[in-house]
Amino acid sequence: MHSTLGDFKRQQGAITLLMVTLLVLLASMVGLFTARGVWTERLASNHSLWNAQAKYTAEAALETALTLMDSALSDPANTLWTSHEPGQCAPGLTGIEWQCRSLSLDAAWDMQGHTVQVRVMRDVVRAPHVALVLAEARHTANHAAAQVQQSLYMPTIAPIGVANKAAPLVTQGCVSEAVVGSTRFCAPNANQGSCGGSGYNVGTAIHSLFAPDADGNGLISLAEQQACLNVSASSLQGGGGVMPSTALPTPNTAQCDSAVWRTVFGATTPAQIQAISQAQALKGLSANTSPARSVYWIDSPNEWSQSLGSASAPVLLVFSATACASQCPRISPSTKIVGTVFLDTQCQDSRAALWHSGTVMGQVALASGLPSLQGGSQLQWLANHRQAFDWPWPSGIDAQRVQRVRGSWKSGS
Amino acid sequence: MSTSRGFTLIEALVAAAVLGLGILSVNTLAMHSLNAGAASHQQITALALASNALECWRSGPTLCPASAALGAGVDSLSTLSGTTYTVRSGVTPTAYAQLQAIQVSVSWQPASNNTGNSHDNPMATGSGQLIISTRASSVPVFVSSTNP
Repeated sequence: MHSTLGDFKRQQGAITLLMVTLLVLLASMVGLFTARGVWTERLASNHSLWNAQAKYTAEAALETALTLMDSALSDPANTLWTSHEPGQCAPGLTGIEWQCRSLSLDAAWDMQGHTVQVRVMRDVVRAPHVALVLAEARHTANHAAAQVQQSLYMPTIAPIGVANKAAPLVTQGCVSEAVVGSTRFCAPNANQGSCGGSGYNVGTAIHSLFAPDADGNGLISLAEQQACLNVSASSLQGGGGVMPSTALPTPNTAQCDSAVWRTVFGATTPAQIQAISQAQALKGLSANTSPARSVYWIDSPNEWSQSLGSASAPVLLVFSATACASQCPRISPSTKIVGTVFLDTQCQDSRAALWHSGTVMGQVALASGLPSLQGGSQLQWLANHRQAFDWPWPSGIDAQRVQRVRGSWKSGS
Repeated sequence: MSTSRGFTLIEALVAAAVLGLGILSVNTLAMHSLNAGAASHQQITALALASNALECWRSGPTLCPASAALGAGVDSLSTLSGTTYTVRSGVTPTAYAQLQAIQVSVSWQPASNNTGNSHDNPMATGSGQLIISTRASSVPVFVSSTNP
């Protein structure tokens, strides 16, 4: 018993030491856990700062890109959309209709150690006037990255306005048939039925913006209108053409100002239509792709023999002044085009003489008269024929300048 | 008996030394943690002030009357949790007339005892600086006249 008490007394110091050590260990653990929490908070704080810096750098890149695009697009000869870089499309925008490229920014900019990449992309079929600009900034050492994006309206096209010439043929001169009664012009009809049938079609089959004032009295009389519109009653389903009631100056063939072009395309220029056609060709779009190619700018003088378009997806064919240099290419008799066909005849009737339209459902427009249209040509109205180039614009927009799409700014990291 | 007493004294001394060392270490760690926490807080506050200054400048004088002063590079002082923050922003032109470079710098230091509420955070002893740079283009946003 004495021995046991003695052992206990000898071990009192060791127990005290053990208790103290345990207390110190406990305090140390509490301290370490607190330190770990603070360290985590410090790390999070640093990451917040680095990510914010990356975001502001990406924003700076985006703003620089917007300025560069605004500057580039004010030059009609810009090359902004003349190329496509397949690897530059954002995830999810990999369809054949997406044209994408990178944009180089000025080197005189301090990017605070970030690597910056700017990509621009657009849908060349549905909205070639809207670009998505995507800017990314990355800091390798800090493991920080940020991405910002903004959509832009671009003056790559212009609004075409409300269609005010609802006729399957719009000309800037007189119309005649090579063989009387061998062609067919079908006006818009209330029932959207097939072309033909007496009294079935209503409206205007041919709309001419110019008729010669033969007697020089300043007015276009009914006789002058009939002389100018030399199409048989059997061909003219829906009856009559609309001519100006007062005499207009004869179109200047040396410097053709095509009123018909403006009627069909509004303020959109031929160069803009050509650029979109080239972009669609660059992307490999064709009648067989999905979506199908919708705009064709044709410089070749060869006869056109490919049927294109459908009622739900009409196309636009522009036979350019180059294609029509001597005479506009015919559309072969067995070919059917659904959409709009424009012949840039440069106000010269001779370039459209003896033309053949094949079957066009929609509208044929030309910058001159259409003498001696060949037999078998059939032109039938289709209300949505402008769908291929009637891209959506918000009302009231000034389409001549670059503008941000409201609410399109996004950021992420 | 006397041997037992001797042992107790030495043991008490050793225990006190261990306890003292432990408390010193823990105290040092705690101080360091508090300082680090305060530094994080200062950094986050500085970032918030820099972001506010940038957004204020962007929103223009109508929505943010202070934006003109910020754009002119005038310092803005504020004392928060025992730290005085000085916000300075500058706007400089770039090679493009439509594009401006914006830099906001926020520097901070402990508030002196007779200013602000330094007793709020006695550990806010560090000073530092944060710089945010970005750019702003004057390319407009399309707003329809029919929108409210």
